[in-house]
Amino acid sequence: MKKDHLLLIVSTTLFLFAFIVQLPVHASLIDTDKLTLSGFLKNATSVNLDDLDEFLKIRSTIQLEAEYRLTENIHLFTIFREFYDSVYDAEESWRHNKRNRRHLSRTKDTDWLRECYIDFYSDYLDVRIGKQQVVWGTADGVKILDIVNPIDMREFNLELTRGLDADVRIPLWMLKLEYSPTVNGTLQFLFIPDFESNYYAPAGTPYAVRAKNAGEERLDILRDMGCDVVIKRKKRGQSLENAKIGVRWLDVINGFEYTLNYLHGYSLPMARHFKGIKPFGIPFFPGSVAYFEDRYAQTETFGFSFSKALTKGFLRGLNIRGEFAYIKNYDNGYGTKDNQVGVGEVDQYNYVLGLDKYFWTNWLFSFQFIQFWLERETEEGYHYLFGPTSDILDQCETILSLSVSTDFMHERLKPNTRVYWGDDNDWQINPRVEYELRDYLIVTWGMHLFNGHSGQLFGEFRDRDTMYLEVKLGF
Amino acid sequence: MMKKVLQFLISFLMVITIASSVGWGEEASLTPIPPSCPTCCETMKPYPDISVDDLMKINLYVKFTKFAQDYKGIGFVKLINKKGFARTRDWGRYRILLNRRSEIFDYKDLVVILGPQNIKGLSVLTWTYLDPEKDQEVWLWLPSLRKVRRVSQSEADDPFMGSEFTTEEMSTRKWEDETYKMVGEEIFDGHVSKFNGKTYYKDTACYILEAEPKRKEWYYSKRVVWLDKRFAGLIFDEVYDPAGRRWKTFIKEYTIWENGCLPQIFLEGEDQLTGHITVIGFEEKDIEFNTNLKEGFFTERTLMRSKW
Repeated sequence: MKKDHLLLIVSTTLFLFAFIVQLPVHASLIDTDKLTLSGFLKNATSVNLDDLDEFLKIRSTIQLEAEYRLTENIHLFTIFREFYDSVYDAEESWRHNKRNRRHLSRTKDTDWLRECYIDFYSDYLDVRIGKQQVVWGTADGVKILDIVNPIDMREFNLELTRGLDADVRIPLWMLKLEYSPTVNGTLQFLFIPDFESNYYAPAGTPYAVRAKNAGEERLDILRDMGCDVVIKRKKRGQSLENAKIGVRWLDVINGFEYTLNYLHGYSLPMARHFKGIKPFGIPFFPGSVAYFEDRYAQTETFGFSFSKALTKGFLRGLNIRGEFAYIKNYDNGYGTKDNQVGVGEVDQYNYVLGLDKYFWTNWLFSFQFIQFWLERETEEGYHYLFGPTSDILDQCETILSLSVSTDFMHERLKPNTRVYWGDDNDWQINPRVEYELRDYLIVTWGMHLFNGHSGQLFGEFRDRDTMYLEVKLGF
Repeated sequence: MMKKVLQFLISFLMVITIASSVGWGEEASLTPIPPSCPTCCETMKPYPDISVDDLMKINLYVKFTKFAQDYKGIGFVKLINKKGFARTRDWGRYRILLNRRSEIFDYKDLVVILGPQNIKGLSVLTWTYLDPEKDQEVWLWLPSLRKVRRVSQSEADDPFMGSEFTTEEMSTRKWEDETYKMVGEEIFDGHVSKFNGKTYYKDTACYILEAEPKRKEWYYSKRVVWLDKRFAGLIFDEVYDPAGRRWKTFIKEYTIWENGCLPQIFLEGEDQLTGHITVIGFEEKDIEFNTNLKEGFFTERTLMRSKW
């Protein structure tokens, strides 16, 4: 609580300071030599296409962004964001769960302070200190190397399919240094004493993954047997000894761009460990308590990414990109379908290869080949389980994605479709159209369509086909 | 006999000497005059009886501000339809000219969108090679992803930011892409802007050229180009579609600064078939040359400084 108040005071002071400093000099506070203020109001409403009476989201968001340029080389920047999702008040399907309503209908904790940092620039060294986002990798809509910041998956991957990664990434307090010893070579160093994990929609909400719902049902069975359930969340402390450390080298040689990446950190999804039932190991006994522990494994990630636009020859105009990540010591549950019996430590090898090319002047096609490999398929005779669905995980899972985008009416009308296909023949198709009504008024209409069986990444949402309308007013 | 040979040699040498002194050989004539002060610009002006090829070389020299070491400008782009409905994008542009100091790069360019809010922060970093056969290297900073994205150069006939100007017309057209023919020299009647009603370049002495694309079945069949005789900068351009219809017109206004720099401050493109117009404008006060921008500024690190 104290931390909340402190943050509120610091950031509001920063914001007001920017106003006050400008007041005597400028009549307009929106855009001056020193200060830029902007933001947006947005409403996004979506319905379940399989049941048009069911609203999945009625979210209104306000965001304020302020940049204050103290000197040419020192800038302060803050983003405030608040939202209210009235679907948890208006929609019968979601209203009954008060806990979910409390967690999802409004901005939680200190999340209203999206970003808050100070920048220092020089010819060779840039420093950014504060709450911020850092992005690695070249992939679109899938997280392979982009693992510095966790993500908010309350709506599964829907915002990622729209290319709104910045809105769902969870910013962290950190120090970022960018040192350039050569013209194009940059060494990035990250020191992150902050810890946040991926945020998944809780059970019983529109985009709760199958494993969440199934897990909650299993806990309810225990409770119905008269057994209390205690889940201890072993969240990594926000401390120096638990700090994440990242290093990235980026260079461009003859048009070939590459990065080498290393992250000492923690897995962003948690793994739930069953610690036993006390006192006698059986749930029926009066006063028995089942203990679980949610842990975030310490991992070491080694990776690289590259991109090369072919500027000459037969394949001219083709952009080739890719990224690879080797994650050491990843915690993954194992067992049988819907029945996790333990958590094993297993290394992961994930990569993506992408090709982008314009056809017919302004039709951009982006294709991605994505694979997730496990070091081994089984642990103690059991298969590893797929986190989101609790289904059997193959040693290699393949996903293909294709995005097609173009524009009409002098870039006023922008259609876009992104399709994902999983190797178990499950699909996600995400068509949308964006229309610029005015400079500052954008309307977006789109759908998210799922297909497959319930144990698959996309198939698990097959009864959650969505149609949405979003209106965004910038200022 | 020896005397005759000697007389021939002397005469030959004299002819060579005189010819070189009056400017035979385009390399000598196109040599720019160095800047007269640290913040001044080079100049390269048309010479008497200049060839059409040299005229177009000077035109591109002026277009890409190659008279300077670097360039900064803040301006706007307005997209206006036939009914008068306008959309505006504010932008900043930075360029460093490397053609004199690099064997690889011609120039590097950074465009930053300053508004409206929904695309604010969008930035495009472009490296242009000296080799005319090579496409540009392009990086985008995408605010909605908060990351740098490598892309291939846009198709040359793709409208730049939805405007009447194609990517080729704005940044990728090279001298080698067209063949040129001199049409004549005339006094320009002036062009009335649809945007502000002002008449541009009335009674200006011009070279008139015809440029045809070397590419077959290209989006235009020819251009009729009007170059100001004072500095060979393009002031008026008429583009004809593949069917031979007059399709688009462009007017471009420069100011001539005392230090030799030649900033472009106003561009208007009109689609004669749809009535849609694009206006690109800069305030003179927002344009700077030779501010000692470093090559290291034109890298991903600068894109990553973006906050939006």
